[in-house]
Amino acid sequence: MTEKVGAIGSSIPRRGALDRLTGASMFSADFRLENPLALRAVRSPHSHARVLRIDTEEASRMPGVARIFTARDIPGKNLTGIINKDRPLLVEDKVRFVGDPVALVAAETEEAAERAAGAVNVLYEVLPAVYDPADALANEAPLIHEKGNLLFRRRVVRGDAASAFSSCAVVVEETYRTSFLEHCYLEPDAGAGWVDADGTLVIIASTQNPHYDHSEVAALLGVEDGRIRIIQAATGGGFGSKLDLNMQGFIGLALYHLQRPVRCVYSREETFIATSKRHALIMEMKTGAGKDGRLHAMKCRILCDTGAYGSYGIAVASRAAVHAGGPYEIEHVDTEVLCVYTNNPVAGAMRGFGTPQVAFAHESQMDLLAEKLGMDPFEIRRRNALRVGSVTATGQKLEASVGIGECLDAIKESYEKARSARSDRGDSPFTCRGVGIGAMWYGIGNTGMQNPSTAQVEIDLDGAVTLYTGCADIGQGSTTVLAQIAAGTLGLAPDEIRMIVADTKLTTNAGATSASRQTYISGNAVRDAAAKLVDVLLTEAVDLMKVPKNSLAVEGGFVVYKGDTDRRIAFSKLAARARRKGIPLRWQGYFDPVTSPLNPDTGHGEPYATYAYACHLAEVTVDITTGEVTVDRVVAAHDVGRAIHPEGVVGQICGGVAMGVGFALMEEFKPGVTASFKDYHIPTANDMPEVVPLIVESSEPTGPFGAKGVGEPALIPTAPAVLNALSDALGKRIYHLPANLERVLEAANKRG
Amino acid sequence: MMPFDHVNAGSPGEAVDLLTSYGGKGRLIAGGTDVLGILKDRILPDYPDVLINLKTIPGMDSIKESGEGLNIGALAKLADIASSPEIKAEYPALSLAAESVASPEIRTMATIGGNLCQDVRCWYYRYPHHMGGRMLCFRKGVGPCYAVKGDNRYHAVMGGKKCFAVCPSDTAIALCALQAKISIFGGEGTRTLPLEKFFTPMGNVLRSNELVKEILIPKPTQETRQAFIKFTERKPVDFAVASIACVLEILGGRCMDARIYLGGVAPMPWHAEAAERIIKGGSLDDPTAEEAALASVAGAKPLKGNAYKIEIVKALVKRALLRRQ
Ligand SMILES: Cc1cc2nc3c(=O)[nH]c(=O)nc-3n(C[C@H](O)[C@H](O)[C@H](O)COP(=O)(O)OP(=O)(O)OC[C@H]3O[C@@H](n4cnc5c(N)ncnc54)[C@H](O)[C@@H]3O)c2cc1C
Ligand code: SF4
Repeated sequence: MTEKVGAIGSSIPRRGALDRLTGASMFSADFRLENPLALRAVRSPHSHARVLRIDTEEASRMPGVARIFTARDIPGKNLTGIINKDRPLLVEDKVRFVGDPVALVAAETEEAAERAAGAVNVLYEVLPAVYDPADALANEAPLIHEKGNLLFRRRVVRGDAASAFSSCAVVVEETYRTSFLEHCYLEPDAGAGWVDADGTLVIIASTQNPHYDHSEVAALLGVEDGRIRIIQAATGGGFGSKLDLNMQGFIGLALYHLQRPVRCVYSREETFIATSKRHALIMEMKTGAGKDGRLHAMKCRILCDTGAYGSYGIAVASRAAVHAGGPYEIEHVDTEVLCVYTNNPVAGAMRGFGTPQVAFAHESQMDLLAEKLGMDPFEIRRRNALRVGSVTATGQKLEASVGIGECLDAIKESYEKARSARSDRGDSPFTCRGVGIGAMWYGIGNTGMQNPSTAQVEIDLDGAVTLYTGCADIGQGSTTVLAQIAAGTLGLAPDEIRMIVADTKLTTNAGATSASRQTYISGNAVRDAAAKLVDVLLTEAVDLMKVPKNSLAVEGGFVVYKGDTDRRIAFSKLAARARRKGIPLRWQGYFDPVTSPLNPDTGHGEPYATYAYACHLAEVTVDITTGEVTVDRVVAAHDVGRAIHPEGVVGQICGGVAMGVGFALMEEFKPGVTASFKDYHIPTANDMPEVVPLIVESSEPTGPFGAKGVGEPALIPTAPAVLNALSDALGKRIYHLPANLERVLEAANKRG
Repeated sequence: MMPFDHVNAGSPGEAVDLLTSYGGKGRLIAGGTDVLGILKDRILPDYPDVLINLKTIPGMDSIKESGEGLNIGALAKLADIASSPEIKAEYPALSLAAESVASPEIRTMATIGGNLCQDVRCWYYRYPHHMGGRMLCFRKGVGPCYAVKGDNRYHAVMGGKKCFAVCPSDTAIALCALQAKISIFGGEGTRTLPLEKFFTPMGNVLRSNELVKEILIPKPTQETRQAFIKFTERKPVDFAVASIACVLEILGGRCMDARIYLGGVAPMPWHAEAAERIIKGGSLDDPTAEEAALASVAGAKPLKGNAYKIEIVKALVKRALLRRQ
């Protein structure tokens, strides 16, 4: 098959960029519906309580109230969750965190809905609650779910770690902790809906996974699949939280009963209280190396606080376990991750699924080992870096596209310069400077699970091509990249591809926009679909031109004969010819990465078909008298396989660094205290370092044009690099994120 | 947000009459950047029936410089104060303080009167009502102080007794250091007091029928050196973790007079008198500054999570004193 690569690797204007700039993009809250009802959830003020009675009488009689729903009004199955179904849309018997919804008000105005929500009387019997995952595992702990507080356990075992430690020249053992984080996407969750003339419940949503929303809403309402239609509106970021069912179920329930347009728009405070958080992890890690710095053994015990419901907890635990050792070859590994329910807010998916947390631990360990061995932090990483042929902790042999070594080499020069420059103290007597490296690996797609994507490509009789994809573009640019991949395969320019995106009536399932999977997995599905169409066109052309197929190519809307490019036939003519014969003009592509499930006892298997790699170099200045940390510069090298859209990759890297700086230095969600941006600090433009993105392309043979993914990897190495730089500056290490003023000052003071 | 009426006042007298006639159910609004947030989150059990708008009072937003000093109307915008060339030249501490507040959007709305009268930012106090219920704490007249046992990283390290919320106003410490007076207008006429006397541990001395009319700052002498340093967790849009304003009279290399106020560390602007005593009369060298820094935090009583503030204050004091301008 021929393919045109002109479309690939160029930073064409982003699809929809102009609409965003001019304000023409329609976000969910922008849809003007006729007379919509406003929806407002009544949420629990208690973190653990039995619901004895929900009295909606008085509230129902308030002016403007259309109806108040409780669990009893849910016609289908009142349990949701993408991995394990444990979360009711509306609580029936007991609430498990502050913010658990118990009733839903539909009213003529936002104000009426708010007033009525305040007037719903819920009688609770408060139960003992548990907020610490270790406490939650104790025998006498209050049971949050009937099956017990341990949601999931993942082991990954390779070799014999216990005995390998005795032969190590150096061993370091530390405990690392991270905090709950809020995603802080710009657009708070929002949705709207109406009932179509044919009775279809149409839901517009700010979402990362419309096809999942579709099946979940259908199940909640107990209706056939065809009665639901989810359309993803322009979405202002998601970072994992919009993978859960947030307001979609409320909208479906109201539409089902009231048959009237509704809208449901969360305030920032509601997104803080109601939506998922990043898991707080406690990680005990023991790592041993030989005199030469080669890692021999790693033992790791991780407690993962998943809060009140499962959400993506199992995925986070599994991924944390697989990635705990970092992008290094370690012969003996013994990892156990426990994912535990507590009465904290629900922790779910957030950019990286546990990998940012474990990277903080494994990268700190690397520096500690280097220090003990008197070795350079760069050197110890370079020596241990995974390479083609390496075997991972799950027993997977890496066959190709293992770019961690190249990433390290890419930052080497900057690293050496920064190291030699850091001893000059700058212009202030109370500042000191530090340099640190953080490295990571990240498996693309879901862990040891099928996670296919589909796409459809169709050609009109006039030769125009349309791509149908269920892939939600939440700002990362997948629509542009998928158009490029289709264009690259069909020999067209990307802007010639018409895109129909994320509308469950028109598109087929592309799976979640998560796990950095859309370029690799949906990209392959698109390529597959486009290739099938190309094949049809070429077959028709062979018939007409009487030349072998492999002498033909697609280019600019024509099939051309490579031997004489003046011999060409327009797509439109070939399409018409195929149509007359009854050959379909719409083709479906499919891709499911080759993985194998992990063995429940040993964790062995092939969890991912490919991995992305990255390392960051951070330079920081610390004011030792005040604890103020300035991240001066981050050099970020990322192996993306192939950058389909280099500017998009750079955008992901810069955004990832911003998020990483927040994770490292300031972000912390404290249940019961943090209510909104007034107490939750994320970096602003002024807090940003200079970012130097370096794109490394270690081509992935199974990727579309060699591409892998970068969405989550962009964030992962920043915090470890900053923390290592901090400890380089201070001579003291911080083991608890965020490294806020208090912790930095404490470390600064300890250095004496 | 729950509804309320909004009436425009045409003069200070009318505003005071409205306050009196609504008897506790009326509340003043200037730029609204603080009061609207409070109402939206319904952090207080009582909710006003009416907001009395001061912005419609003519002339109350003026900034006037005279031979004696500076008169700033309570409605003057922080943005205007920050950008005024006179204030930059003669009252740089105030200019810097105003500039350090929040973001450009907020500074173009926020008034100096509102900045001095704004409510505390304690996160328990400010916890929104619609998210599991407001927290009734000591400052609201019921219940304990949640900060004592809870997360108190941003709370007071000095001067706290029953409530440990810090005075959030940046302009307050600059104005105190500049020896500003505040002119208060009410049912009983006008009273003027040193700004320092305006603040109380639980707020300020305004009576229910009074408003702030203007701020008066005496003209600094030629020998005056001023500094304002604000330390925040994140660079812009952040309240002070700790801050310092100082106004020093330097004559022949010696510090003849000094006024040092600390912000973000106490329920009121904190007058660091002990530090002033140490530097007065001598030259400002490194050891003196160090000694003054130590003195400024002598007697501090940090809570469980905020001892770090003491280190920051010490550093700020030293830096402010040694700053050459
Ligand atoms: C995101 C954000 C960040 C902020 N950061 C800072 C900061 O870094 N530093 C800082 O100092 N402040 C900060 N603030 C607070 C801000 O400065 C104040 O909200 C603002 O100065 C208040 O002025 P206003 O005119 O908007 O007051 P309003 O909100 O209108 O009023 C505030 C209070 O003062 C009363 N009031 C107003 N005018 C008078 C008057 N003339 N007489 C009597 N009472 C009056 C009102 O009744 C109300 O109780 C921040 C606020 C926000 C929202
Ligand atoms: S510090 Fe003051 S405002 Fe905060 S909880 Fe305690 S009493 Fe209430």
